[in-house]
Parts: sequence; structure tokens; C-alpha cells
Amino acid sequence: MLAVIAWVCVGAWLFPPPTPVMDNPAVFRIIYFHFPMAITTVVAFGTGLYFSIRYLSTRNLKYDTRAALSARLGIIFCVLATVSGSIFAKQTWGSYWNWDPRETSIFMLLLVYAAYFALRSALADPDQKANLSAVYSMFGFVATIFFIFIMPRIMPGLHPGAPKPTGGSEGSIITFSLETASVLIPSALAHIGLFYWINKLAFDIDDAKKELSNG
Amino acid sequence: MGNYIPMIVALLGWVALWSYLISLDSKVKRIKKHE
Repeated sequence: MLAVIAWVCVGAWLFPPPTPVMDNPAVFRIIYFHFPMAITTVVAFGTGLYFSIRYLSTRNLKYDTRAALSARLGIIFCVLATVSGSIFAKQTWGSYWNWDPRETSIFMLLLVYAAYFALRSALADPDQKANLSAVYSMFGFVATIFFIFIMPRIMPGLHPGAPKPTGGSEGSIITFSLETASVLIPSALAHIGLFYWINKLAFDIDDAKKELSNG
Repeated sequence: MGNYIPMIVALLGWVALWSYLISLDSKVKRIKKHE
């Protein structure tokens, strides 16, 4: 993974930016980090859903903690995707925030998962907390799919992949050159790998803390 | 090709994160071994 991300850092600099327009074309290199972070957010919330289902089928509180840890990392990746996207938007569309459907949807997603943690912190009973948050997590992931994959594709917007306000399909298909793909795809895989690595460490630390508290 | 500085900052940042995660990983493995 060290080598793959090192390649992403070098490759992002080595190849020309994917869409060389505007005043500062170099800023487009942020796509090599922004897009993989957004994909990793979906993977993280999906992992949260997986552990929520495991909890509901086994009633083992360990899986509830794992679902919450995965969602927490998902929020971190979501914030990073939003911040990197905001910098990108300033250079591309002239403003840090434009209420484009995809920007609105990622904001809604952050609210959905902020509510997940608000729900968790509001409940004292561990079983009730685990039950309700597992069910909420299922709705949260349905919202993730809607906000990431459906809403930005049906509403006209600035991001690639959105239908044009005129009703045309121009720009609705995202294509990359081989050079861009050779950095973007390893970057997405490495970001997902990094998520699983950090998540596993968080699980192990949580297990060790529980062992210590149980004496 | 562009400015070297963002690439160097990205590389240094990644190496720092990787070293931190590796050290955390080995600490966790040591704790697990003792259990």
C-alpha cells in the first residue's frame, strides 16, 4: 500500500491534469484524492451496514461497536471528500459552495450520519442503543445510495454525470484517459485499503480496551 | 508536470501517516500477543 499511494502522489503530479481548464489547471489534480475519498465514504457506510446486520442477526454488541467505528471513519472520509471538493469547486465553478445536487446530497448525508451519532449518544441502555442504531444504519445506507448514486444523476447540476439543464445528455457520461485511470483506479483501491486498515486497527484497539476493563 | 511542492507534501504526509499506522499496528499486535 505504501508503494501504491506513493505512486498516486507521484502519478498525480506526473500526468497532466484530467481537465485542463480555468486559471489554475494544477488544482484539477485534487480529483485523484477527492473521488477516491467519496467512494471510500460509500464503502465505509456499507461496512457499517454490514456490521449492523451482523449485530441484528447475532445480538453481539461487538458488532454494534464495529458498525459505529465504520460509520465514524465514513464521516471522516465524507468530510475530507467535501473539503477537497469545495477547494476543487472554488477553482472550477468560482465558489466554495454552489448547492449543486451532489454538494447538497453530501451535506444531507453528513446530516444523516450526524443524526446516527446523536441517536447513539442519546441512549444509555447498550442493547436499546445497538438495536435502534442498527435499524437506523440500514435506513442511513439506503439514504447513502440515494444521495450518492441517484439524486445527482436525475437533477441537473455542475458535476459530471448530471443531466444538463437543457435536457441533453452531454457530459452525463464520465470518461477518463488511460493516464488518468492509471492513477485514479489505484488511488480508489488504496483509499479503500487504507479505510480497512484503519478500521481494523480501531476494532483491535476497542477489543484491547474491553479486555483491560474486564481485567 | 507542475510544481513539485504539492507532490512532496503529499508524499511526506503519506509516509508520516503510514509510519504512524505501522507503529500502531505493531503495538496492537504486541498487546494481542500478551492476552
